[in-house]
Amino acid sequence: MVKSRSSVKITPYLMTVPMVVLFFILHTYPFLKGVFYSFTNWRGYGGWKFVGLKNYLYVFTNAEVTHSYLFTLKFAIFATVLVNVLSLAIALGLNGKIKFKNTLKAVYFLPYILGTLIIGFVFNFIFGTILPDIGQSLHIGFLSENILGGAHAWLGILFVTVWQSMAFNTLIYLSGLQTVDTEIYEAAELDGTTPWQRFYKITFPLIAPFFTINLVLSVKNFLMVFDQIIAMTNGGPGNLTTSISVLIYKRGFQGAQFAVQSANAVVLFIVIASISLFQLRVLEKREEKIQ
Amino acid sequence: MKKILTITATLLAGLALAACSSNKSASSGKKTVEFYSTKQENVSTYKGLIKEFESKNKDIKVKLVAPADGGTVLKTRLTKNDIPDVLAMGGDFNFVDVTKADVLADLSDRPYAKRALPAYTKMLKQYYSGNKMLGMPLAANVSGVMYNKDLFKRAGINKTPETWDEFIQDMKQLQSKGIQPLAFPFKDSWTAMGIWNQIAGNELPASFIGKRKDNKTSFQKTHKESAEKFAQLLPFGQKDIVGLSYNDSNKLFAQGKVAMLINGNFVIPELVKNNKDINVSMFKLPVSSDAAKNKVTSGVDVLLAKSKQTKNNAACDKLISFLTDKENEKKYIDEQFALPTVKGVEQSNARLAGVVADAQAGNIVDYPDHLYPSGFDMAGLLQQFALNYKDGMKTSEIINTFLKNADNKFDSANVEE
Repeated sequence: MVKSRSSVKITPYLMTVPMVVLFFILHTYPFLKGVFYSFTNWRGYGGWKFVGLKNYLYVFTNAEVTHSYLFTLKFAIFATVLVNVLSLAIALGLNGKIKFKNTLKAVYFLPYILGTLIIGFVFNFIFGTILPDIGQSLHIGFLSENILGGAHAWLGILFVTVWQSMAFNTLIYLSGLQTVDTEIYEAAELDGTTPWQRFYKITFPLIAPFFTINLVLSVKNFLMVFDQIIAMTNGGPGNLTTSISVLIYKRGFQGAQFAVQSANAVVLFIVIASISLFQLRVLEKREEKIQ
Repeated sequence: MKKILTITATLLAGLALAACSSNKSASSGKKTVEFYSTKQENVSTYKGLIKEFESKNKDIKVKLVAPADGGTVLKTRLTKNDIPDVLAMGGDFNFVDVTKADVLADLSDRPYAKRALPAYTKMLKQYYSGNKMLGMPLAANVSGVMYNKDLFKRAGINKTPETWDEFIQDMKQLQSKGIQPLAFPFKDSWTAMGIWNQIAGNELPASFIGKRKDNKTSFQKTHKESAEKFAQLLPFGQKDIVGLSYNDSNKLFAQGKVAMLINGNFVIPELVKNNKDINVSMFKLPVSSDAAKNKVTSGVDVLLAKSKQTKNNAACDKLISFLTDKENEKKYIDEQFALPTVKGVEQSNARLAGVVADAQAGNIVDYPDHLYPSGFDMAGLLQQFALNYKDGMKTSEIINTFLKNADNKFDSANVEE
């Protein structure tokens, strides 16, 4: 190996340093500032003083915060499982020899291009007007009322979230499936394996890295669920669909609890970071085992 | 590398130029007054009035600023101690916050101060301590019941109800004629406050919140009757009680499918937009069973305040005086469909006839939620109330849960100070 001269090395830095600077100014610095303010009593304006861990104590003892954590966890678990099972199924289908493959791909990818707020408003109309009309004319009890205005409002949000999030995960699974050598399948077929065996013993292990990234990204995204809820229920009815992010936004900015909700945001960050790290360790071990 | 440097240099030069040009306008001979509005709906009216003001006062230039989410933007400016010369804002928790920052001038010795209706100036004084006048009311809003006159006639009701019992009776009458009395747009939880404010405002004295903040009383001890009245209304609404949105309920009313909506005067333009022939008028929600005790819930929609630190004190006073003289006040309330807060000006729109007289006579109560801590989500609690009703929970249980939650959430919102 020849020792690389400095003139050769400068290009990667030119490409990464501006991004690092921007990322630090726009992301890391505000985050650190938020951590700082979580130890004060700042209302978002005016003066402040240090209050130690008082805000964290509030976050851990407040029933509203606990409720929103439970709701968010429930939502994230359901959404992650549904999104990954469904998008893997769709990806397998799209990877097979079928007609209209590209059209179908476009159809499945469409929800991802639309903005979440727009989708939220569209489904607000569907849940609020179209479905109840159909339900009433067909005399189907559960359809004749706006699901977003009932105790099961979260199912409406879950449906829309899953429908929209599937697109991206399908794409990742699809690119994973395309890395699998088709000759392996042909060989397996000659050995007389069933399709289920081929999936479970060949496909699934071979796309393990893609499974890892999908799972980590899904959990992170769904723990931070915000737009869909704001667009469809605004956290209601009552506080049934108030996720952590929605609570932070509502109380922090509208309710002048900036410091308290900064503490809440720090806790959320720690929760998400530890879940993600845990997932990565477990899933990477699994990947290693397969290799 | 050289190219990148050139681009950066050009960008920096551009920024520097932009910075220069924004400073330039200050050097012209006119005095500039910054007029800051937290509302955007009334900007067109302000523009007309300001144009007239500037043509009468050639040496003053008024810079109208009305950003989106103006209340929050104003608070961020407070942190930098950058106060607009004249403020136009609602008499709500944002105003309470501004008075706490001690940046507003006392207007009580100004000549225009005497023009204001005493009921509204008294209301504003509740928001801060001391006997100063920190805000000059410009317009008021009013809550009540919007009703479809044609549907009332069809049900044989010739007179609007004046007591709670009459109100309930009239709703039963409407129901017996196959007319849906009420629609509740509780999908948008804030609309529940339109009802709650009128009930609680009439049932309880404004001093409640102060005592509650000091933990000397509780919702459980005092708000049982208000909650019972709220519960009594629910059977008269649509079945899917939390499923209807604000816009959809307005449409239902405009189509004549529902006889009444309980909310504020700002709903009427929306109804007229949906159906310009709608025969709608307003009456106050008769909360008490003693007609003489019922008051109209009305608050200051816009007040004008002056910065302590303004360099153009006289020009600011001229502007406030101009906006609150009879002729311009009339213009404002007509265009904005608001209630006057200046003596001798009348809102003569027939659609508001049922509430105007009370407001003019000072027979008003303030919105209780103007004094609630800003993180206290009473609207969400009422939405839960309605949901529990829909799910078939027993009324006494709904009310107990509601009052207990109200106390808990009040405590968790009341963390500051």
